[in-house]
Amino acid sequence: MKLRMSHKERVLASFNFEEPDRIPIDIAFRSEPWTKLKSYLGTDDDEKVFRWCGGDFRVIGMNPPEGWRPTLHPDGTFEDEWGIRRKIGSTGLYEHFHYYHPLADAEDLSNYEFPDPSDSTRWQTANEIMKKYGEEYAMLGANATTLFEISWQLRGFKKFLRDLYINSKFANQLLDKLTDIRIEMGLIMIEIGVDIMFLGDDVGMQTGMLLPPHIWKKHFKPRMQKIIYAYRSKKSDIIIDYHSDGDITAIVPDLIEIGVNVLNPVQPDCMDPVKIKNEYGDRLAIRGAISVQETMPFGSPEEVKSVVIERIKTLAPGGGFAIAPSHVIPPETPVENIVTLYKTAQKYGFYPMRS
Amino acid sequence: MSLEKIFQAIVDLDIENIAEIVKISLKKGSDPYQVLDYLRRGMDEVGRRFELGEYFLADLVMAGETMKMAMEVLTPYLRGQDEKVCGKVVLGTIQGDLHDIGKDIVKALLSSAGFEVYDLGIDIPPEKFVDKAKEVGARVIAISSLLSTTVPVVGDVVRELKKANLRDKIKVIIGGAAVRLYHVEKYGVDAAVNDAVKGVEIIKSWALSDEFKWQDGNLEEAHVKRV
Repeated sequence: MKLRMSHKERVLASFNFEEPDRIPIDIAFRSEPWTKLKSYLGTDDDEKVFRWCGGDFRVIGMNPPEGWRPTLHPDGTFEDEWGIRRKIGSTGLYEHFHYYHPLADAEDLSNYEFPDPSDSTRWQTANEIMKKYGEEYAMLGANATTLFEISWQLRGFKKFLRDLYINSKFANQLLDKLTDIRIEMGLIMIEIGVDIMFLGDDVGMQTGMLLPPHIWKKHFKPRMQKIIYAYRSKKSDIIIDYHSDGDITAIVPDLIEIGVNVLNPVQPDCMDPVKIKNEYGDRLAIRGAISVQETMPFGSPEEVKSVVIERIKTLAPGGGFAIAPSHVIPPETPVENIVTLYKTAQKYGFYPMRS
Repeated sequence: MSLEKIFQAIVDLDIENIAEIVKISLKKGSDPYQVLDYLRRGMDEVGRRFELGEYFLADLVMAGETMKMAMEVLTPYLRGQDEKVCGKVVLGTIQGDLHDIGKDIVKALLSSAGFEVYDLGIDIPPEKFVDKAKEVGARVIAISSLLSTTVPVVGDVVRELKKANLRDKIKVIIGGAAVRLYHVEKYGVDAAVNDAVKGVEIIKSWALSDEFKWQDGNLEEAHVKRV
């Protein structure tokens, strides 16, 4: 092991189940706590704050094409480039999706124009970020809400569930088209230089799977496998990081089977990260495991510290663990908790671990 | 036989055929209220399977949709007869939170169990729950919160109820992924649950309990309707 690794070396070692110099750290914020942290640290420099937190990952993704702007409608909804309309809630913090779904009444896809990933203006920012950080950092390609989430946003939640249960023709058409788009997006990001592909759909909830596993296995597993296979054909050592909120224990073996290397975020409120480590720790790494439902917003700094140390103690041995909040740090989080999270992770995250 | 089929169609989430099955059953002379009873039994069975881990949230959503299709056929036959409302419930997602899947499932389950549900929608300010309960004479306020950080707003609903001198007349139940048992004491609500099926069970048990008498319309003049 090198005494001091680059961010990229650190992450790649860990996700290949070797012990790096210290546990990798990923940062994920809502804008409000990020602003709070900046003012706490007395700087307006985002880059400085990122480095202070010790982040080891940088993210690239597909942007809308040059000149595109979201449409604001008179009813207060705004429309993204997929044609999906959302509205911001009364507290200004969250967006609601269930307003307008462009495929709600469609019988097929003939009248719908999907975003075209091949437009090079979509990737300018991604190329710039790669140029700046690609050598030093672990580069993650954003390709989540891969199939299920974007499908229900396009179609409407209940309607898309109905497709999955009884209208396979439409579900297959839509999912096949999205599979092609995700493959195309991913191959472009591999070309740009990502180390890790971030895939995923929220198919879990607090008490278990949201979708019945048989539905997931029928519609999503084979398509996810096809996507992963396409990436591996181009870059054999691409790391696949799969995200779902909630408890998805039921499909973890399937995810490993189709080639997933990292599970994110292993929401500790409903899914035991130690159990995942014990059962699959030699094949499946964990990125996450710090609760944003309880620990971050409601814990005391002492509690945050003890949770972080506990996670390091139980999940870090042998590599395969990057510490991160289990979702973006929510707006209500006290800044002291954020400071404690990143300080503790950097102070106690060094290998070899002290007992 | 045709009534059994109705039960089975709900349990099988047979959204394609339920309307036809209900139509045939009515044509053959089934009592509309008996049809309703079998639909409800089907929903109960779906709930039971959900609790056992055999059915999933998506199945509950589909069961709700199947029930809705059945009710479209059945409702005209129920008109003109005494509607058996077993209680009124004001339902909504708390202010700051925009999630509605769980709330909608609760609505479907409560409606199919015979409750009259006043669904306020999402992102609902505390006073609106109380105003609506007052207006319609509901004895239960059911609040959904998926975000742990919006659960505390539930405390404001309870405060509003106290201000209106209605706390002892109206029960408050909170539900959603972020809800914990200790919230009962912390925010002064009557029950806290993590899933829709359990929540509806609790509301049903209130409706059946002696200490809690349902009333319809006006809060001063109790008019008890029992399940």
